[in-house]
Parts: sequence; structure tokens; C-alpha cells
Amino acid sequence: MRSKLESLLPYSLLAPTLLFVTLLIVIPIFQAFLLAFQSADGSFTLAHFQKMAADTSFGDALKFTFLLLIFIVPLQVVLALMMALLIHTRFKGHTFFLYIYAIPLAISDLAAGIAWLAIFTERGYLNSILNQLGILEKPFLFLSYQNLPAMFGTIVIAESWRATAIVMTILLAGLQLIPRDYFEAADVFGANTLKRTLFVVLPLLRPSLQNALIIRTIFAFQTFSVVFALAGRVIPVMAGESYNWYVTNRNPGVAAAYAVLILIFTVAATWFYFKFLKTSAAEAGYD
Amino acid sequence: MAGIHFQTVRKIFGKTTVIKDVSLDIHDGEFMVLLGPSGCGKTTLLRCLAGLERVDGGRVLIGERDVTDLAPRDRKIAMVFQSYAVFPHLTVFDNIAFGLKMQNLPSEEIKRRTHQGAELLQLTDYLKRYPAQLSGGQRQRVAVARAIVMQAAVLLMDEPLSNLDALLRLQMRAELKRLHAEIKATTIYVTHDQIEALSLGDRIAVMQDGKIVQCDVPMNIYDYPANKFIGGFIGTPPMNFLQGAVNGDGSVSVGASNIAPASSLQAAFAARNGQPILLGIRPENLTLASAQQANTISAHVLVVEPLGSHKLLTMQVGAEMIKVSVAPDQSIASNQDVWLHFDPEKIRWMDAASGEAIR
Amino acid sequence: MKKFLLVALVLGIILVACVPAPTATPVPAPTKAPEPTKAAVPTTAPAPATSAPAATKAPEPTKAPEPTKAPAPTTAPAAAGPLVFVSTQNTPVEEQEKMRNVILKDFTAAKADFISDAEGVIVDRILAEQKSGKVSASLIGVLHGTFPNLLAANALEDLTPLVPKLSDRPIVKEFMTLGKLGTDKQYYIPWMQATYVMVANKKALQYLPANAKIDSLTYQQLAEWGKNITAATKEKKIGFPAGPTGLMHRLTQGYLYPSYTGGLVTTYRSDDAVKMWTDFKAIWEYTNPQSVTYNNMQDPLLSEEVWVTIDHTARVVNAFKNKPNDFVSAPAPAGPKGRYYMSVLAGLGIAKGAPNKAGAEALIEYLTRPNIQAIYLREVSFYPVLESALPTDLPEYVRLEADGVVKQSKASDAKVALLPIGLGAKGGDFNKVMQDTLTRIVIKGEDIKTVLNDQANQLNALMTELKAPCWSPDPPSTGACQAK
Repeated sequence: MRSKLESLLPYSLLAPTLLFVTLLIVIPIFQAFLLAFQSADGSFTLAHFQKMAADTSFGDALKFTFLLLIFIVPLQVVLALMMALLIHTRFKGHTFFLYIYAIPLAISDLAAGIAWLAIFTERGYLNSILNQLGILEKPFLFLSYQNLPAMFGTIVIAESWRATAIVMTILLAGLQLIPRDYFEAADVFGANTLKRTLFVVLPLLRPSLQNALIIRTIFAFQTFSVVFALAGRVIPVMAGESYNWYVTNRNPGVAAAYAVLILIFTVAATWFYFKFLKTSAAEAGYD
Repeated sequence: MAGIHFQTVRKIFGKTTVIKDVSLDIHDGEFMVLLGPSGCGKTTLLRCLAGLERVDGGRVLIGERDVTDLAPRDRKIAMVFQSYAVFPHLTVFDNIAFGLKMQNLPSEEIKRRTHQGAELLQLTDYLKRYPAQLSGGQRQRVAVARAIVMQAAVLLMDEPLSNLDALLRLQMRAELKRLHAEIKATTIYVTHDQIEALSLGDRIAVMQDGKIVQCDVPMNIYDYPANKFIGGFIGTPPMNFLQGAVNGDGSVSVGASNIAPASSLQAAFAARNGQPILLGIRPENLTLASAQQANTISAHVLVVEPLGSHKLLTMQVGAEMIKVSVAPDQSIASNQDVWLHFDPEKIRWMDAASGEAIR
Repeated sequence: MKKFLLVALVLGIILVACVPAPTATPVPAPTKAPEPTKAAVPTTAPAPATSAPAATKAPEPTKAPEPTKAPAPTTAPAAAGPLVFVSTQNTPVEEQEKMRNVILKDFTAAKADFISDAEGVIVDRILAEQKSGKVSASLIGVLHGTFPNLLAANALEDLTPLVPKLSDRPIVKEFMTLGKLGTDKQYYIPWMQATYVMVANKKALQYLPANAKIDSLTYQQLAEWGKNITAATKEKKIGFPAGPTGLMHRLTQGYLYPSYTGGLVTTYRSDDAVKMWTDFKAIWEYTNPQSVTYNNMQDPLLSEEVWVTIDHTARVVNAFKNKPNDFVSAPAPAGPKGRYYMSVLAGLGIAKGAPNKAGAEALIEYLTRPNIQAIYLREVSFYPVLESALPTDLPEYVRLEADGVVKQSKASDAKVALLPIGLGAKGGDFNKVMQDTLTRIVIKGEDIKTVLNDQANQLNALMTELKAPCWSPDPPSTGACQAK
């Protein structure tokens, strides 16, 4: 009797999570697929996908989503790694910087977008400061559709600011899992900071790096509030188009088609990371 | 090659001073064991030498070089960690070669020395494996090999055998001794295991509470512990202690009997008339006597443990318990009352209050 | 003829029900419905607009000894339970606060609980409550275009008995007619209205083209004006709300297209349309490229990134509020076919089976009082629906903005454009055609004729799918409205 109850315990502990995942993730995904592939009369259709692909912004949305991915993900991982390594040295006052770094985590992406808009706009903080310092005579138009690289750059900066902290948190947690002995061994055996990072820290951090990359890439596919605030419709991204189709154009079918496309890309990216960043059991140190 | 000199080294963690102005000179090529219970500061002292801890006072010298402010990589040392710290993402070969690669040596030399090190520790067959595919003992050997191939003047070992099972530990102990004889690097070896210390050390520095309480060759540490703590810490079973009081004639009464101290100590005892004193004696320095005679005390046998090479007896003397080691063929049974003979030359007398040996 | 147009109008406004208000932005929720004033009903004769007759000798409604402390209106017996008032208007947090703490403060007949959210949320709630039979929301305050949806679901009470009780206030008759939704019963009572106006920084006035007057500007003169400003300041200081939640597409639909082509759908790729886009490109030459990020124009006006703009009254009012001495309001420019403008009407209805019908009726009576309508104008920049003149004791900033609104409706060449009709849920797609056209022509610089042709084809496909006939100012059609 007792063993039977005990065998049920793990399942009962998992049940709440399972319930939430089912209610909030599995069912909505299923519904999104239904929306994407169903016509108004309930029959199977690819019309939503055709409409999505024929849309003026579709090509741009694909292009800019991947461009953002290519710029943001590596930049953020490098930045986050540097921040995590810095915090991990536990220098005096490192907790202060940890809190500073973590601030963007607490700010919604829309609020972040508005804050950065206030910085980059023509009479914004940045131009005002540059003007006061005498560097600029006339405000520089960062957010002009005629200067796409500048506009894109502001998005990269704002997105990096916003989401680097989450990557840093993952990497810092990973770093703290690595026994200090490995770092000390590297020190004793003659590695300087750079070599220690390259030959010891990074390889040992690989599982965390993989997680961080996956999470960051998924987030990058979902980015849009910041892009909306800074670039309006000039730089469309896939998640933003999905939002537009649902909220502004009131067309759930096309919105769901975008969602399905994003899901496909996300799964593909995750598979890619698993395949090419995989740590063998032996290397990972498991028996 | 290089000697090592600690000069009034101090280390403070928060409000606790864990190394209290320790000075210690280690000779070139010497195998020095830092021995003490956990928390005595022995590992911290080693880490101060490695540069993994920054000292808060005093200097550390390797040879003529003051290394106090140098980073670990600039101290020209090698180290075996208690956890081995063998890198899980590198093969055995790459692990052993790690330090050599960091020095940017030519790859031919790296190869040669790595193979040499692997051979010395019987790892040649495992060079392509990852640490997770090795046994604990093999991993430990990888850690040692990685340190040895550095050919550093100074080799540090932090409880390298503590994670091995008893049999392996015995084996590796002898192997380490052989290795030291071969490479002759100045070695500092931290352990809490007194047998390892006795077996390996050219000298042993016994640490207690952040200080070195005795530093000497193993047999002196064993025979002439500087205080009650060392006597009780070293030896299996450790030294026996009995309470006594100094009489007017310089003898000591222990229970109903009188024990006469060795003649060389008589002057010291004269001044202690009437004071309590501690008698310390090793189990193997007690002998059974058939009748009362000079320097005997009556005792009651509680337990007899035949251990093959000897018999270990647990006896009651007055209200106190002592251990006695006798020859395996000694006929003795529990519940027997016997006379125990104390050899005055083998007794280590200690001040009852401070525990310091009386010399 | 009149009847047909009215029905068509009502149908068209269904569109509005399908355009959700942007919820994720801190700018005022856009309100979009045509202002079908006297000018709207007979297509040919633009009679003087009624929203604000000359502000002379106002009957001082705000100071009137009318019952401000609502002596429990005749219809209101001690109401049972709270009075839930759901609305798609005044969604921004500041406006909600104004609603609760200022506008509803003196309403004592029941405890009014004001809930404001996006259009979809509110409509879904009302319909779901009807379906389940558990009605909690009593009073419904939504755009004119939302009501046909609710009526179709039989979710509205007949308010005809309430009309005589409101006879003491001069609600614009045409608005009351619209409130019948093409039937002979009154389904909603007009609540408030708004429109789009031009706003200019006074610093810009010196650069007006020599022969131009700000109150009777043309689009070509606007381009010239922009050119002069850029020549003098080296900056592009015209601005448009072309951000992701900006209302630029309304300016295309209700201002630019009708003013140049006299129509919208039928003339979508006409030569007049090509001319319009050519002229608009000329204006865009001197338009701040950051316009693609502007959702409201009051912020860029205040920061002086922009000197001249056209936007919804609720989205520029803060400029007058914060710097009353810096700005003037004026009618939107005119094109070859007249000075078309668009306006917005919201109304109040009662849910079928409302738990607190008496309280809801009392609140309608309260909200349509002249002094409360004046407070509305002062606090949230929505204009009264009453025939009477604007109150004279308006705050300076409201008067400054109202000046342009009045001039716009009274301009000799003023004409009112209607929102698309009969598009239902496809209103978003319709707007997207306008947005994409603008993006391709102005931002990406594609060939005007090619783009208009592409987009007109999309428009035709959409209209065919919906079988929607043309609406004013396009000439009536028998089948689906098509671009020629």
C-alpha cells in the first residue's frame, strides 16, 4: 500500500506543472495550428499562409528578424559572458553591479522601447547630450527610415540592453556551478585570464551557453515591442507582423500562420544548437 | 631547486585569524608534511604558498624569490588538488599536458614529457580517455602526472589521497614516496592522516589552531610529542594519558602507585612538588608484569582484541581507560587483574594545565 | 436616397467595430467613426457643421443652476447593486482617472463602476453576457460603428422612452437619427465627438507661402510651406502620425483621397490619385523621417521635432495644454475636390437585461448635461454633441484647439468624409491596403502607378469578397464597390 502511494507521489508533484503547461502552452499551440490551417468554414486551407507570404512586409519581416538574430545573439552572449565573468570574480561591490545589470529584467519590453525612444529620438537625451557637449550642432536622426543602419543599430543597442541580463543570469548560474578548483588549477598551471577563459571556463560552461543561446534565440524571434517603438513599420519583424495581423488587421488566421512559422524557426534553431553544441556525456563529466 | 620560507605569515578570514604569524623553513628537496585536524589552517597555509590566497602579513619565499605578491602562474609551482580538479572536458593526455601547453612549449617536448609522466603513473593506456571514463584512483594519478610533468621546483599536494579507498590509499602512498625519491622536488603535503604523515614526511609540521606546534622528523614527533594534543593526535591508538601528582621526593603518584621519572628530569620535578601532572605513554611501551615492582600500576583488563600482529588491550586504571599493545602470543583474558610496568625512559610527562611536555 | 445613405452609413460603421484600439500604447485610444453631421446626410450639400456653432453668447451652461448634484433623476429609484459602465473610449490610464475622479464625481444616483478596454474585449464581454444570460454591464459607451454589431446580437435595449426626458438639451438631431441605427427606435444616445485638426508651431507661421493663409491652406501650399521651413532651418519639420499605432491611414482615407479624388475606392488608382500621391511625396520631402515612429503628434510638437502636423484632437491636445502660447490650430488643408475632413461619434446604449437599467438611464441623463459635456471637453478633449455653442469659460488650451475644429467645420469648402461601410471584420485589411500603399510609395519610393495598381487589385479582391457597395464620397454602386 505504502509503495503504491509512493509511486504516485512523483506524478502528483508534477501534476500542477503539467496542468499549467497543458492549459497555457499545449492547448494554445494546438489552437494556433487550427487557426493557421482552418478556413472560415472549418475546412483545411493554406490561404492564410499564402496571404502571409504575399504580403508586402513578409520578405522584410523575415529578413529583419534574421538580421536581428545574427547581430543580437552573438553580441549579447559575448557581453553577458563578460559581465558574468566580472561578477564571478567577486570583486568588492560585485553585488551592486549584479543588481544594476539585472534592472532590465524587471522592465517590460514595451517600457524599454519607450525609454530608448526617448533616448534616440531627434530631441532625445542622446542628441541633447551630444549637443551640449558640443559634439553635434544639429540633432542626428537615428530613427530615420532613410538611415536604416542607424535605425537598426538603435534596435540592436536597445535589445541588447534589455535582454542581456537574462543571458548573464543563466551564464552566471552556470559559472557558479563550476567548482572553483578548476579555476584554481588553471591558475596554478600557468593560465592567464584569457587562456583560462578560453580553455577552461568556456568549455565547462558549454551546457549553460547552450541554454542561454536557445533561450536568447527564442526571445529574438519574439522581439517586437522595442522594434515597434524605435522603427515603427519601417523595420517589420515576424512577431510584430503576427501582432499586427491579429490586433490591427483583425485577421487571426494570418497571425496564427506567422506564429506557426516562428514556432518552426524556433524548433529548428533549438535543434541546431543541440546538434552542434552537444556535450558528450564523457566530456560533461557524468559517469 | 628551491627551499621554501614562510616568514610570520598571517591570514585573516573576516574576523578570524586562521594563520597566526607562522614561520617555517623547508629545505630544498625536502618532503614536508603539514599535519593537523580539519580547521587547523594547514590547507590555507598551502594555498598561501600557491598564491590562491593572498596573505595578510608576512612574506613567502621560494628559494631566494619573494613570491608574496606574485600570481599563482608566476610562482613556478605545481599542485595536486584534493578534488583532483582534472578537467572533465579534456582527455587524459590534454589534462597532463595542460600546464606545458600554457607555457607554450614546443609540441614535441609537450608530447615527450606528457608520455613520460603518463608512464611514470601507469596511464599510458588511458591517454585518449576522458576523466569520466576513469576510476577514482586513475583520476588521482592524472592529477599527479599533470603536476609532475611541470618539473616545478615546488610540488604542492592538498590531501591528494583523502578521496581514495583504504587499499588504494596504501598503494598510492608508497607510489608517491617512490615518485618523490625520483623527482626530488621540494614537496609540501597537506594531510590530516597521521599515518600518511609518518610514512611520507622527511619532516612533519604539526599544526593546531593556526600555529605550528611542532616541526620535526617523524619519529621525534611520535616519540616526543611537544604537547598532549600531538601525543593524542598521532599514533594508532594514540598516546595514553593518566593523571598524577608530584611528590616531595620527585616521584609521581598515579593512583595507589608511585612512578619515578627519568633521572634527567629530576630537577624539573623538584620544583613541581605537590602539583598535578600528566603522564603520557604509548600503548606499545607498557608491559605486563606478574607481580608488583618498581613503576608498576595495577590494572583491570576490560577488552582483548587480537589484531594479528599484536593484541590490543583496553584496561582500566583507577577511573581511567588506557590502551596497551602486547605481543600476539601473550596469554591474557578479559576481567583479569594485572600489573602494568611503565618504562620511565618512554614516559612523556606533561604539565597538567597547559599540556606542554616537561623537558 | 437619404434613407439608403443612412443605412449604408450604419453598415459601414460596422467596420469600426472590427478595428481594435491599440492597447499596448500609452497614447490615447484612437476613436474613429465618421462625424455624419448635416453635411454627411445629403451627399451634395455640405451644410454648416453642427459640432460647434459660433461661440457667441453661450448659454453659460457650466455655471447654470442646473442640478449638478443630480437630484436623483425621475427615472432612478434607489438602484440595485453597482452600475457597471463598459466603454471602449477613454482607455488611457489618465483618461480613466479623469473619468472616475472628475467626470463621474458628482453622479450620485448609483455607484458607477467605469471599465474601459480595447474594442474587442468590451464587445466580447457584452456578447458573452448576452449569450449566458448573466448580464452585469448596464451602460455601454462605444463608437457609433460598434453599435450595429451589438444590435445584430440583440444586445441593446430600446431607448425610445428615454428620449423625451432628454428633450431639455439640444442634442444634434442628425446624431439622434444615427442613434436609431436605421430603425424607428432609439438604440443609443449621442455621447461625444472628436476630429482631426492641423496644429502648427507659431515659429512656423513666418514661413507660410506668400499667398497662403493658414485657415485655407491647400496640400500643395503645405509642401511649399515645408520647403520654406527646411530652407530656413535645415530641418524637416512637418510631421505625420505614421507610427505603428498612429492614425495616418485615417488621414489617407478621410483627408487626402477625398480631397484630391472626390472618392476613395472607385478613384483609388485614378489620375487624381496619382496626382495626390505625387503631391504627398512632395510634402513628405519636408517631413521628419522619424514620422514612422510617431503614434501621437503632441510629443514631437512639444519637443519641436515637428512644427506642422495633422492628428486626432485627443492626440495633440497636450501640446496646447503644456505650451499654450506656442501653437495654433487650423483646418486641415484642402485639395482640388474640397476640404474633406473626418470626424468621430461615440454614443451611450443600455444592455438588454441590464441589472441596473434605472441607474444607466440616470447616467445617460447626467453625461449629456451641458455642463458635464463641457467638463468632457476640458478634461479629455472630446467635443459636445449639443447644438449649443461651446462654453465660454473653457480653459485656454481647449479653446486654442477648438478654434481649429470650429474653423474646419465652418470652412466654405468643408466636406465630411465617411468611414468605409460594410467591411465588418475586414476593416483591418482595408486599413492595411492604405498603410501598405503609403509605405511602398513614400517610404520605399516605388513607382506610384505600379503600387496603386497592385493595391487597387487587392482592394477590389477584398470588396468583391465582401460584396460591399460604395459609400460616400464614392458614387453609389449596385454591386461590390470597385476601383476603376
